[in-house]
Amino acid sequence: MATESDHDLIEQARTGNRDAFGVFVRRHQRRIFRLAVHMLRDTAEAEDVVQETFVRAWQALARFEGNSQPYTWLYRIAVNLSLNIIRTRKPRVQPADDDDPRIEAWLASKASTATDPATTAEHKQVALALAEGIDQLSETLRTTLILVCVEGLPHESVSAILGCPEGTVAWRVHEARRKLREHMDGRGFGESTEGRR
Amino acid sequence: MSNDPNKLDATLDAWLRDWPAPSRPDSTWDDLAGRVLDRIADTPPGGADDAWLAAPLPAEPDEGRMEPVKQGPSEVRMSEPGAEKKRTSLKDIAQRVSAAPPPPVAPGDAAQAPPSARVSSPDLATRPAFVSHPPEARDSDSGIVDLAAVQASQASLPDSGAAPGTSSLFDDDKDKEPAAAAPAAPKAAASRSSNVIPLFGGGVVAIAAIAAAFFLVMKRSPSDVAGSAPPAPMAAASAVTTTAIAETERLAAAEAASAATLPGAAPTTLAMNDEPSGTRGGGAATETGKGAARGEESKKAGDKAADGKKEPEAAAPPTDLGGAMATAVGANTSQPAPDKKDTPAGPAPGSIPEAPSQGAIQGALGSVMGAAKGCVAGMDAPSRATVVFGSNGRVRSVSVSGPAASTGAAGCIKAALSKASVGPFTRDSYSVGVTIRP
Repeated sequence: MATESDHDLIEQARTGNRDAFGVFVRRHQRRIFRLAVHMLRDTAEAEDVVQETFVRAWQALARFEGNSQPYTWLYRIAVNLSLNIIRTRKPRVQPADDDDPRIEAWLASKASTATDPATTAEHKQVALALAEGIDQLSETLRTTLILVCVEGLPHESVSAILGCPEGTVAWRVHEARRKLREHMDGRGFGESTEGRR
Repeated sequence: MSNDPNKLDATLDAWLRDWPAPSRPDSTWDDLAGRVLDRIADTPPGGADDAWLAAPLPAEPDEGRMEPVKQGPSEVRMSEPGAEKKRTSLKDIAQRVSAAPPPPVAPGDAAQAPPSARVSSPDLATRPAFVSHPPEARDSDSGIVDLAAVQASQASLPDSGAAPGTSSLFDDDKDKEPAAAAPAAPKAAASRSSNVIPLFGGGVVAIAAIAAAFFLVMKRSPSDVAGSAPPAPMAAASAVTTTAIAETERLAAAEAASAATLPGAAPTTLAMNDEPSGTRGGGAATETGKGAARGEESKKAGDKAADGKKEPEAAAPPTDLGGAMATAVGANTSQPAPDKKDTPAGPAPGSIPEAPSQGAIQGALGSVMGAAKGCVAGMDAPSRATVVFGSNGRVRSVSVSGPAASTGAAGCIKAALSKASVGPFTRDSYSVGVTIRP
């Protein structure tokens, strides 16, 4: 069952096969979690979103028409749930800091290359500036940038997730990159960024 | 800073692509998947809320005029948000115009309006009567003076004895004056038959009338208008050429006065209305003898003509053109106010208005706007909502358009705006457009 396609798993789940749906959950829960963390900046809320995403996907199995990849369907539900949480909670005014799970994940991934404290501090500065720049983007640009650049989804899939034309996705990514580039330039991470890596 | 954007973008892409999620042990993922399966264990597929399957994000404000990043048919659709916004705006304007209550118009006002009020403009023609205007202004509040009424009042002036202007000031007045002068004609005819027939007969009367008319025309010559008062001996001499008796003179004056109301009976005296009041007053002051008597007769005849029009004239008419103009513009305070029954009846105190006032609407929506704005927090572009109030003052329906329409915020906005309420009104419904800015 682990080798079956997502479409096959969904078809089996429609008939009430919960094991097939369990395989589908285990296959995609990490990517949904990653998306939720980057959107919510909170691991606990991200886990809640993962759980809710699959529960609501199960409840909406009958509406899945199979015209697109099933994971795009999951992404759409997860984005809606995350945006709902963002809109209902109090606005966060504090910038990204060490408690931000994104910063922790960034530093953890760079730990092997950080041979000295100066390099570690430099990695941290880059991560903070990057997270701050992403947070300053609008909801639409930020979500599109995360789906395309962080999640690595193709424009076609992001178009299906967000319900907009691929050209719109491309424009949003272009605009988000431009603003992020300006932000990083302003923070001094422009010309010698390659050397900082 | 002259950095290569492509190089920066590549660097940013690498950073973002390699940005991991917080690591979790496998047991955590197993637990998470187990919790999901536990929750769906008792839940059959189906029954999900469609809101979670809707397109999640609103459009960016600049998407409508963005440069084509990727060629394709999708660029054609990118201009739709701006166009949609324009249509919404025009629709709102049309709704507001249609929602404005029309001015109350009493039935038959247009038909009963005086000639001066019967104008081609439909809104002026249907405008209700106003209260404090002199008879010259009639029932119109348009500020247009009824020159026919001014002429009628001028006909009774005790001035130099000249017949008042009888020609129409405007071409379209010609067909109105016969009706106004018709009632005066029988009276003049009766007076003529009772006095003239025993003396000279009809032929003499006709001659006298022609002579009087000729005399009047001579008096209203341009030289007279320039300021010189007509000499009394000239009038007397003219009268002598026709008959020598004073009674005939009086009859001639009466004939001339009655003829003043007939169309085409005397040449145009448009300049009379432009004559300075001082000149006319001076002419009246120098009037002596038969001229003064003729003035008295003329005044009586003018009164008869005015009676035929059935015009309400409670106060004495002005004695010069300045006074007539002051009366026309309402400066004459002695003029009694017209009957208040002509004024449109406004809403009685305490009654239900036809539509809620703007203040009530602003107050009602202002109290819930904070909650509505909270629904669109985080969005970049404003959304629009149309609130329809029922006649009981409660919100009947709310429709949301714009970026929030396709998201879950629409329900939040509807719930917030539905709490608004205004006072009851008589119309079936009243729509208000609201812009909700994040």
